Amino acid sequence: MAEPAQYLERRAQEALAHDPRVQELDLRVRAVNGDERVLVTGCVATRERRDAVTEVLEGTLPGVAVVNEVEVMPLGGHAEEEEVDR
Amino acid sequence: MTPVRIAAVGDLHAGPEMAGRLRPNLADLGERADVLLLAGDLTHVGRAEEAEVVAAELGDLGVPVVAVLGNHDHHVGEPGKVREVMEAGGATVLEGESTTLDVGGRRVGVAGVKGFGGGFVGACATAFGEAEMKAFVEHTAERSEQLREQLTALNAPVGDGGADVVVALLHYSPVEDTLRGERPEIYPFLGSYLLAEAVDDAGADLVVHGHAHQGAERGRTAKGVPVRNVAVPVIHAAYKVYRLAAR
Repeated sequence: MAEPAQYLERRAQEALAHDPRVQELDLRVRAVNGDERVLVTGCVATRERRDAVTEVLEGTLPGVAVVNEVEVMPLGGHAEEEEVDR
Repeated sequence: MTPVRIAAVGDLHAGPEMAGRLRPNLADLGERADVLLLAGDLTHVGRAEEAEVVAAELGDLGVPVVAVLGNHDHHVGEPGKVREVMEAGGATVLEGESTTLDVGGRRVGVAGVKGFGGGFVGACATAFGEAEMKAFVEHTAERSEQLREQLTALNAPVGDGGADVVVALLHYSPVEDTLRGERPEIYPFLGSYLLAEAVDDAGADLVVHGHAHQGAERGRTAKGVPVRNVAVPVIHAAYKVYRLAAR
């Protein structure tokens, strides 16, 4: 029996949390089409860490295609100021 | 009198590869704000060399920098070193402590604590059962009590050490409002109502926190104190400025 998708997803998330190339808790992994592909979403601080997500998952889940939709945190620009109403 | 301008951001998650990337986005902060608050997760996993990147990027900003640590800053088990590096770089780091700043003749008081989890009323943990569960809940209760004490002191008359503007700086969230967007099943790992209760008991003009990257920016405590989630993925910028009139 193929590994149930939920365990595959959890294994992937554990790898992303503990592998020193990523070490992120906030990434969501979803198996798509059974165990053929995983989709990864979320936000990391740098593009290097985003690229490392693919590396880590390809190592953890050999034979599973990785679709990396992780975003890099937007540090540029100004957020609109707020006049705080007590 | 012009409002006090509080700049805030959380969850920078800085590592060595961020060197030189943050400072260009802070270039005009000194003109736009009176203080910068950092709501935890300054570093990727809490290594001293990561804190050095943050300290260097924030050096000589022209405004005071006040920070609390977050869970990521504790990950490798050396939060003391992160604090040391940040303080050597000129920041004030708070853990169950407070600081006051003079801003154009007004006293701004900041009480800071990382906080912890436990959840919110109706779906929260109780200090019952295994020692580990009791320790989990009691950790948050202790931090909330420290927050309450510090905010109480800041709400004293200015002549007695109080402040004109009082801000609570946290990493974990005190309310569910600013967790909207996160899966509800993980709310107990994102904050605790005990933090809000401390704020409401003692009083504050604003609460800022981080931690919940998928959350929402705005919320209120039960007594109506404004709460703002300033995690970078929420505010979509290097910082946001909140303008607060003095009392």
